[in-house]
Order: sequence, then C-alpha cells, then structure tokens
Amino acid sequence: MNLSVKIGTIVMKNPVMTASGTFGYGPEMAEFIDLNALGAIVVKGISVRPKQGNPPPRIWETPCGMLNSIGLQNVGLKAFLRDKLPFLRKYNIPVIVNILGGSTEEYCNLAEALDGQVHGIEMNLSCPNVKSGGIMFSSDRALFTEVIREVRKRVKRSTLIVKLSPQAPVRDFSIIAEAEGADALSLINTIPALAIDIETRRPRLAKGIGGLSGPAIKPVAVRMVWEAYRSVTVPIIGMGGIMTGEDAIEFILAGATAVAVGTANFIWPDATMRVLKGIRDYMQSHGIEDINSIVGGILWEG
Amino acid sequence: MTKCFKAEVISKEILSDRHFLLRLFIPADSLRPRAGQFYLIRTGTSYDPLLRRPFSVFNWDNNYMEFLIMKKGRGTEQLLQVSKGMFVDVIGPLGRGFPLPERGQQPVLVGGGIGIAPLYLLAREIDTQKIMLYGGKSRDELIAMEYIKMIGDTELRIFTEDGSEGIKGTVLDGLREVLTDVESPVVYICGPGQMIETLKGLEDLRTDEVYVSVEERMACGIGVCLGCAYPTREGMKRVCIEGPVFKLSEL
Ligand SMILES: Cc1cc2nc3c(=O)[nH]c(=O)nc-3n(C[C@H](O)[C@H](O)[C@H](O)COP(=O)(O)OP(=O)(O)OC[C@H]3O[C@@H](n4cnc5c(N)ncnc54)[C@H](O)[C@@H]3O)c2cc1C
Ligand SMILES: Cc1cc2nc3c(=O)[nH]c(=O)nc-3n(C[C@H](O)[C@H](O)[C@H](O)COP(=O)(O)O)c2cc1C
Ligand code: FES
Repeated sequence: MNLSVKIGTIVMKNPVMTASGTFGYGPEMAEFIDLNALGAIVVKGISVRPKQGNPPPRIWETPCGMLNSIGLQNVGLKAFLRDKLPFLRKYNIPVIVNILGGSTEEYCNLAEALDGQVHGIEMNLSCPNVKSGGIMFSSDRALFTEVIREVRKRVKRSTLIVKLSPQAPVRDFSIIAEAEGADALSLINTIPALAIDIETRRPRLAKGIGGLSGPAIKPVAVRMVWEAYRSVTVPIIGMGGIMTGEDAIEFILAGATAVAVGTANFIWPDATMRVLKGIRDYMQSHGIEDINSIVGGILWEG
Repeated sequence: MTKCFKAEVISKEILSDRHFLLRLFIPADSLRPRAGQFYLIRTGTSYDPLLRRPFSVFNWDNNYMEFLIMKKGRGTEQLLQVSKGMFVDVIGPLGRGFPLPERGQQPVLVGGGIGIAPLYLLAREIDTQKIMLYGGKSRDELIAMEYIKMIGDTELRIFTEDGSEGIKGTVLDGLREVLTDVESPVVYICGPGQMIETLKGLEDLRTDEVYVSVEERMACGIGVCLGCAYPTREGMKRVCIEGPVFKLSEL
C-alpha cells in the first residue's frame, strides 16, 4: 500500500499533516504521539517579532465547532529558530512553518530567514495589511498578488505553500497563487464568525469576531477544495473539520493530495494517528493500492 | 506523566439538584495528581458538544479518582447522564497544582462554591493544622459538607452572603480577619471569577504567599491552542500549563 505523497519538493510518507495553530511547536504533542509517524508538521504561525495576542476570552464553543480569536500569539522568528526548531530537527519529518505579517516586507523577511532552514513555508495571508488600513492580504487581489510574487523571489529552496481564506473567491485566488509561483495551496483557514451573549448583548469573545473551525465547517471546506482542484494543477492540502479517516478521504476525493488535522487535535491529542489509521482502513477495504490514485476521484463533473 | 485514555465510571453520587460526585476507575496511584491539577473529560461520540471540559481532582486513592461537578450547561448536563460501567474520555493530570506549605507556615484554604473541589484534596494533602474558609451565596451553594467536615486537623469556618448558614459575609471578609491573627500564613484560594477579580483588587493581600487557582475557557488543555491565555505581570500565560494555580502577586 502506498501512502506517500509529494507537495512541491516535500516527500511525505503519508498525507496526514497538522494544521497551523493546533499543534503548538511540537513538544507538547510528542507526549501523546510519535511525531515521526506524521506526514509533516506545520507549526503555529510565526511573525517577525513576538506577539502577545488577544485578551481572553479567546474561545467559544459553537454547535460542532468552535470560535477562536487567539490573535496570532507567537514567540517570534528569533525565538522560533533558537528555541523551537532544534527540537523539530531531531525528528525525521518535514517541517513546514506558517508565516504571518502585517506588510509585504515582513513576509519577505520571514521567507528569507526561513528559506532552506525548513522544508516548507506556508503563507497565512488572513492577516490585515497595516499600510492599507487593515485590509486582509487574503481578500484583496492586488495585495495577494504582490505579496506572493515578492515572497516567491526569496524562497529558493523550501516549498512555498499559499494558504487560502474562505472569504475570497476560491477559483480566482487559486489561479493567482499558482500563476505567482506557489508550489502548493492549502485551504481552508477558519471562517470569520460571531457569537453573542444575549444577556449582556456583548460578543462572546473579547475581540468580537473569531474564526470558526471544526466539523461545522467541513462541507464548506470540501467544496472549496473541489473548486481549487478544478482550477489549478499544483497540489492541494485540504483542511477544515477533519476528525476521522473518512473525513480525510472526502477531502482527497475532492482533490486534496494531503490533509491537515486541526481542531480535532484539541479533542484527541492522537487525532492525526486516528485519521491516518482511518485512511489505511479505507484503502484496505476498498482495494486501493496508491492513495494518489484517488486524489480528485469524486465521480461528478460539476 | 499526562495520559489520555478511557476511564470506567465506578459511581455517580448525586449531592444536590446541581451537584454530583463522579468516581472514575483511574490508576491514580501511578499518576499521583496534585491538588489543583485537573482533568479534561468528555463523554459520548457526538461532535456536539465538541470540546472536553476541565475539572479539578477532588480526591483520589489507589485505583480511583473523584471529581466534584456542578451542572452548568450542556457538557456537565451530559456528564450527569453517565452511569456506572460506562466509559468516559479523560486526559490528565494537567497543569500545575498548589505548592505545599513550608515548615512553620500556617495554611489558610479559601473556597467559594464549587471552588472547594481542589481545596478538599489540598486539605487532605496537608498533614498539619489548617484553617479552611468555605462560603457561598446561600446554604445550597455549600456542597459536599459531609466530606469537608471529615477532613482532619481543620478549623472550618462557613460563610454565606445571605446568612442562611455560618457567618454572614464572604470568605474574603473572613480571610482578612484571619490574616490579622496568624503569623506567616500561606493562603490557597479557588472560587468563581467574580471572587478572583475582587481578590486582585485587594492590594493588602499582595504578599508573596497567596496562591490562586483561576479559570479560563479551554480547548486543548495541553498547551497547543493558546485559548486559555491569562494576562499576568509577565505577559500572557496558559492556564492549562503555567496554571491553573498562580501566585496572586503574578496576576
Ligand atoms: C482548571 C479548571 C478546573 C475546573 N474545575 C471544576 C470542578 O472541579 N468542578 C466543576 O464543577 N467545574 C470546574 N471547572 C469549571 C467547568 O470546567 C465548567 O463549569 C464546565 O466546563 C462547563 O461546561 P458546560 O458545558 O456544562 O457549560 P457551558 O457554559 O455550556 O460551556 C460552554 C463552554 O464554556 C466552557 N466553560 C464554561 N464555564 C467555564 C468555566 N467556569 N471555566 C472554564 N471553561 C468554562 C466549557 O468548557 C465549554 O467549552 C473548572 C474549570 C477549569 C478551567
Ligand atoms: C486555535 C487555532 C489557531 C490557529 N492558528 C492558525 C495560525 O497561526 N495560522 C494559520 O494559518 N491558521 C491557523 N488556524 C487555522 C487552522 O490551521 C485551520 O486552517 C482551521 O482551523 C481549519 O481546520 P480545522 O477545522 O481542522 O481546525 C488556527 C485554528 C485554530 C482553531
Ligand atoms: S487550553 Fe489550549 S493552550 Fe491551554
């Protein structure tokens, strides 16, 4: 049975990765699973300087999902390279670093510092551009195009992944990302959402709007992966509410070459291993020799 | 070491219309949870409710662990439905517990409502004389009294805001009084959010030896989601890893 897949130049022994922000930087999870069994690890988003993040409450549970407004809290580039990366290098798995910035220059600085240091760089573009009054890179064509173009010039050795937001039209933005040189796409990021306390009439989260994740967003994510698959030829990393191997297979049939497990890690620290086992079981019971043979295998022309 | 597994329900004791004691089959002897540490518990296979719920260890012995639970919303309602022989998903022990008193220190334990849960275990861990202040809005918030009265070597003082039991007033009023009397006290506090907020405002309590267990909403409980961040003097700390017990002077 072949489970090995390729994302850009990254060869993964299986298609199961972690979703950024749901797996820390590795050590916490190493208590629960063998990190070497993962296809790849994607760490929490890194910015040039450390960020404190938002005030609490940062989390609110919703039907089959959760809202979060962590506010991009992270240790910053320097501390990541010094304190976090050496731990991950001890393992025999590809390391992908999620990067976030407030300007094109910040993305470029991060890309330059990380290129060749890690296997992959994933651009989280669901960040406000400070200079254009807080418009998200992920939802403005001009900003989106420019930031990928500039980062691409600086990423020469690592695989460059562009993460798409569910707020922008998937087809157009997938095509732009591919044209600007992305080696792969990942989707979806959380969906902006709001929950209100009807007693106080205040939002449930201190910051108001949060990002929705978990099983509640899965059908939206599967549709978007399918749309992206029909629009580009670069490999796609699918995510959004994956809890089981069956969920992962759904994403693969929609066109994902690899899948990322996010919120499920909070419920079962070994969620990635459960998903991997579920994929194996499905392949076995359906006589599938190579996982790549069912990528985009949905029997529907659309 | 933290473990994630399925634990069998040994018993469920109903204490009031809102409170119950859940006893789970957990090899506690090898895990040796400290007072103030907690477990994340989940039951059922449905995705709604999705997240695990945090509960402090109330008591343990060789082969079991007990949790004192107050019914609040859907998660605790669902836990109230479990019965003997069923299995629940648990992860723990998690977080940092209360440090034990040093020689010569007078322990003072202060619990508000369900906040008594970790303090009961702490009181049992401390084998010297201690003062325990326990309070609630009214007498029906004073739970597990039959257990608390049984703790040895304890001077117990009860408070209710409406005066329906014990001294009329809050445990924090009681604490101030105690602190005027005792020398080198070490104070351990757990209670509702409101009580912790009041506590933070009491400048005269900002001596080094006050430990508070705080609550924040949690998703993972193991330090990866950053959902449980709590503002401290040294920036944001994770309640599930650096907490839930903090020194008051840190907050
Ligand atoms: C470290 C720690 C130890 C705790 N120990 C105990 C204990 O020993 N006994 C006990 O009865 N309760 C304890 N709690 C509070 C308990 O976790 C909540 O009452 C419970 O999660 C409520 O869940 P629910 O679904 O019934 O309520 P809902 O209000 O429907 O819950 C909705 C969401 O909010 C979260 N939530 C609600 N209230 C709290 C709260 N006070 N703190 C953190 N998250 C909350 C839930 O986990 C859930 O994600 C503890 C909380 C923490 C953080
Ligand atoms: C608590 C939390 C933190 C996250 N942090 C990041 C992040 O730093 N960068 C990023 O690109 N995505 C982040 N995400 C989004 C996830 O990587 C993923 O795209 C999304 O949660 C959907 O997958 P899921 O439903 O399986 O969680 C975060 C999600 C959660 C729930
Ligand atoms: S609950 Fe996830 S980091 Fe504390």
